[in-house]
Amino acid sequence: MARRESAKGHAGAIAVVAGATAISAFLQDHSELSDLTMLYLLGVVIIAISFGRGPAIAAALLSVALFDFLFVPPRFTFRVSEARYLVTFGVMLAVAVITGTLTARLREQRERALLRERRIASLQRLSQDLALRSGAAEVLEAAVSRIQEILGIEAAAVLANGQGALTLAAGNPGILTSEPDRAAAQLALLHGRPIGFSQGVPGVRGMHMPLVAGTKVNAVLSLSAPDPQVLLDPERMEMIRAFSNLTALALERCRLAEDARQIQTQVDAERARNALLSSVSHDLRTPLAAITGAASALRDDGARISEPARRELADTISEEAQRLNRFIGNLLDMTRLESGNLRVKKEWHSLEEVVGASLTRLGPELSGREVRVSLAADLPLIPMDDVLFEQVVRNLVENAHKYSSAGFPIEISATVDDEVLRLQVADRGEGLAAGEEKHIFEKFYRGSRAAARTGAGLGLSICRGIVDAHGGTIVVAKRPGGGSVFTVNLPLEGAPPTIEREDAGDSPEMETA
Amino acid sequence: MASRVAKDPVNGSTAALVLVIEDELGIRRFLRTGLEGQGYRCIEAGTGGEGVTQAATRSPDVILLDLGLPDFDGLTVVRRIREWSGIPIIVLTARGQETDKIGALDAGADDYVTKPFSMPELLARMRVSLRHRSRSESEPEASVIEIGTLSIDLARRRVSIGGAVVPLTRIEYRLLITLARHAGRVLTHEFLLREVWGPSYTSQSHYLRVYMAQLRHKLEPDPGRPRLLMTETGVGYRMSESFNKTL
Repeated sequence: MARRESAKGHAGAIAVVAGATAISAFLQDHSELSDLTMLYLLGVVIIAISFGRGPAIAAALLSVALFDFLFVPPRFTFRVSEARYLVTFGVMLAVAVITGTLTARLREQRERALLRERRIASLQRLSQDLALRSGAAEVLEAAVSRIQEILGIEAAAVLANGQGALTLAAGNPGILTSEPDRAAAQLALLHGRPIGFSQGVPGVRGMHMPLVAGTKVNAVLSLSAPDPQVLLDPERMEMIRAFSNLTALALERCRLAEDARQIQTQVDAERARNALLSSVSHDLRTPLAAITGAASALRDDGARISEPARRELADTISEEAQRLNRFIGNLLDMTRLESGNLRVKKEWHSLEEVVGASLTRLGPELSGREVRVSLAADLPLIPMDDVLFEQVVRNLVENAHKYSSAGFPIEISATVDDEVLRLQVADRGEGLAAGEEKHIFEKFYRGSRAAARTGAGLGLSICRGIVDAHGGTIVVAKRPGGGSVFTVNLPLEGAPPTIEREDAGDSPEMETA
Repeated sequence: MASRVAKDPVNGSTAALVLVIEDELGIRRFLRTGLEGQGYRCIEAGTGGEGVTQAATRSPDVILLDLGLPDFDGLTVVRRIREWSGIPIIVLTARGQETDKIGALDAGADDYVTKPFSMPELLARMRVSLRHRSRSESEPEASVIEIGTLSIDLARRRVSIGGAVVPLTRIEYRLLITLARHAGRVLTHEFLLREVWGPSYTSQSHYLRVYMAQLRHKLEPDPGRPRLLMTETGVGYRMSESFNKTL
């Protein structure tokens, strides 16, 4: 590149000197020789400004030679008749050298400024780009593509995985497919020092820059080019270093953000655990307190308590114990659901039977509340785990009973549409507050209007857990005319098994005549 | 009521003897108090081994067996006792242990109650078990089974409710009489499938579901909330001992 530049400069010098000579030849009859000298000097200055010192000196030498040969008497010889012309030659040369040097320095300064500007611009682009990325992978991806684009070299980024082996995070594997370079990248990662072919390690063709922030090596940039010497260009070296630093900082930022996120997650988990503990201890202690109180009253003052009061105490013990039992049951179910230990044993079941069993089991709790069941007459057998699904129905009905006015019936309906069972439990309760639809299935969530009722907020999340485990969905919606509708959708998964039908009129009766 | 169950079903004179095999002291105490209050005599065992010994030496009339014993599991106790005796065994289990319940029933237990249970619930199970035992030991089966308003004439194979004949298919009838012969007792899916359809059908539980639904639609006033043919979810079915329906 430099050679082509100087060839251009020398060609320019020849052209300008030739031009000056042509004009001088034209003017020589009407001018003093000193005027012609000025013309040549002008040419030298132009060359110096345009092409720098070398071409300027060349132009000066050429000018002196031509001026001497063509115009200084005796003409057409290099001999000089008067000594003063030697001074002229000296001045021309001095002017050429001085202006050439000055302009060359100016040019250099301008070029350096331009270069610095370009470098700053590209660093800025990179840093803007990196600032937009979140996560180490994205940062490395951006850095690698910027380096390739701006520096015109091949780049790849590697991370250490847990076992100390390298994984490619961005870019093409390129030189990392060769064993020595992989080892060099690993060393760079291990020691936090750049390692490359310039250190004379046999077989290494690239340059491996560790991305260090603080004391931690986060990743390694592996750079290569078809001609590795390109990488050693000081200008490029500096850019590579600047890019590496920027990328390392961005990686560190990601790591800190990730740490902060993890800490936040831990804080959230801790908060959830505290909420759970306080809920659990409240829901365990309340019935226990009632039981203990009633039992101790019966034990200590049994003789003095009237028969109806004794009866009431016994009822309290029994009811609170049942409440405790339900709560513990829910907790256990929740734990089983969350630990993933829940095994869904699907068999073909009649929904009518499962709903019936739920209602029978709920019997005393519903205390005479009307429940209307309308199941489509053509419901097929449904693949489900009856024990679990009975609980879904029970929890939904219990929920409806708890949160709706006793005067209105709870309505259960089911249809099959498009190979999906749709089971609905509807009530005429106060309905949900806006935005509650999503939260109501969350663990320990209790509706805004639930404060006055007992319960731990587990029933509906257990429903969702079980329905999820069945591959179905459960949603809640406002019911037209007031109240809520819970809808369970369950895929049917193929046709139910067929059974051999008995012949019509196949009666067991043995009529005696 | 107490006087009726207090009669020893075999001798008809002394109170029935109950063996409680349970390691939890609290439950033993509550059972003893409750049972003695109802006129039963009570003996206790804290381990399975002790329980098997007591069952052999004291010849109780009914055994209440906890499935979660410290030495060996309840199933083993059931099998050991069944090797030489048909004493009614009622298993006490925790919720969510449907597999254990089925296992115990298949091993020969008569019935189960789920903890926490109430005294009336347990007494009802014990009464049914004691009655079935006394029946199987005494006279041959009656020719008519009557459960409330439901009447099954075994000789004429005719089923009626409140005097009105209900036509049943052959399989519906077989299913109904199997349940009726064990009224009050839980029967596992497998048992019913084997009894009604035969041994090769024991895993075809959908047959049972379909026929159970058919029977309910013919016999129950509200098939969606049965009162005669009760579901024991995850385990089997139980025919209730009392039933009233007017057609």
